[in-house]
Amino acid sequence: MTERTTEALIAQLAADARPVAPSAGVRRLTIGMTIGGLVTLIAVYIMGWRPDLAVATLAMNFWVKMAYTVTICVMGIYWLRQLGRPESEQPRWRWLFVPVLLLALVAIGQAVQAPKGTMPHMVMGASWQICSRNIVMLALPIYLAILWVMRRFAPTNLTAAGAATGLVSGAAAASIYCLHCTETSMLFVLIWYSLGIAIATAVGAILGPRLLNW
Amino acid sequence: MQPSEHVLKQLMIAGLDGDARAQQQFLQLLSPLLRNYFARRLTRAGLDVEDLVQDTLIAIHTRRMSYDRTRPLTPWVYAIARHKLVDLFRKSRTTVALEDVEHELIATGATDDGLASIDIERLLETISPKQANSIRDTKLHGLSITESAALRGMSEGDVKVSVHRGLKALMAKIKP
Repeated sequence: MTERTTEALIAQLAADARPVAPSAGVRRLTIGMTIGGLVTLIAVYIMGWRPDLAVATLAMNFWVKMAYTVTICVMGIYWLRQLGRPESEQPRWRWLFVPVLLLALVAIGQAVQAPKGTMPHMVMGASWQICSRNIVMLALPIYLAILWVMRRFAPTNLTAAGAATGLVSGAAAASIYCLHCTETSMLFVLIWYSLGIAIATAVGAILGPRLLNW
Repeated sequence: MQPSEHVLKQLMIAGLDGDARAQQQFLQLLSPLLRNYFARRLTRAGLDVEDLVQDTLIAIHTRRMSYDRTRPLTPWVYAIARHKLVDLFRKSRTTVALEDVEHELIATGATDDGLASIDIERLLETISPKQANSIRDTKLHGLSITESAALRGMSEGDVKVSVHRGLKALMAKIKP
């Protein structure tokens, strides 16, 4: 390669200088999350809404559960934005303890009030064997969508960016999964929802250097 | 004459607003900077500098969306250049001693907190452009006094004095 071909390349690139608004990054992320989220929503729809959905939305449990997953998702999106900049600093992961601890407090409060002998059910619910797995599977469309979003960003810390990708997709999938899952025990959510999100995060971190490199 | 952060940033923003000529000028001004940056680091590896320059220019152009206009531009550009360099080292598995790579990372600020580089850029904007450029070249971008002098069309003594005075001015600003 010579400096002459570089000049030609520059002319070619500049000819394609479409405007990029300051909000373009947010817009792209919104588009990606919406498309990925819709695919996951359709998958959950096919699995079936929880039969008592209309009633459930009147109860606190439903919203606490969703607040937990949505909070984690929002934190992840913030980190994703940060890690999309090449000169970004390491995100402050420890903030994740805040929603986890808050939910743990609620879960303990619930467990203390529960009648004796119901503990195993509060931990295992009716769906512990499939809950985490479902969340991981439902995370896939959102994960792929975020990979697409990142093609215009410039992550240089690929493991962290991969982890954030997995975290957001897992937490978003878990939020949508709330529409299907009938579990009401916060202990259950604390364990099995968190595990699903954690697996998605770990897979994302492992695949990050491969899938996000540019 | 090496372009300043201010000039590069203005061109970049004009390019982001869709000004093709500004974008072209921006990339043209970056090329020698990148060439110099890579040439200094690929001397022993025997890899194609121009290839890397082009690869980096493409990345800078196609990933412009990742630039936040409220932040300094130079750290963004060098972070992309460094990523391309590290990636090339990894792909080519050249026999670059590990401590060399670490040295590169330290020299170019990979281990720094991003905020530190922002603060430095802010501070540098407060002193004279000549002093700021001399400090940027020799202290931030790892150029030698001779290289900086050649780039800026200044004498070596002039660069040395600029760095010295600039650092002194910065010290005075930091001290309460």
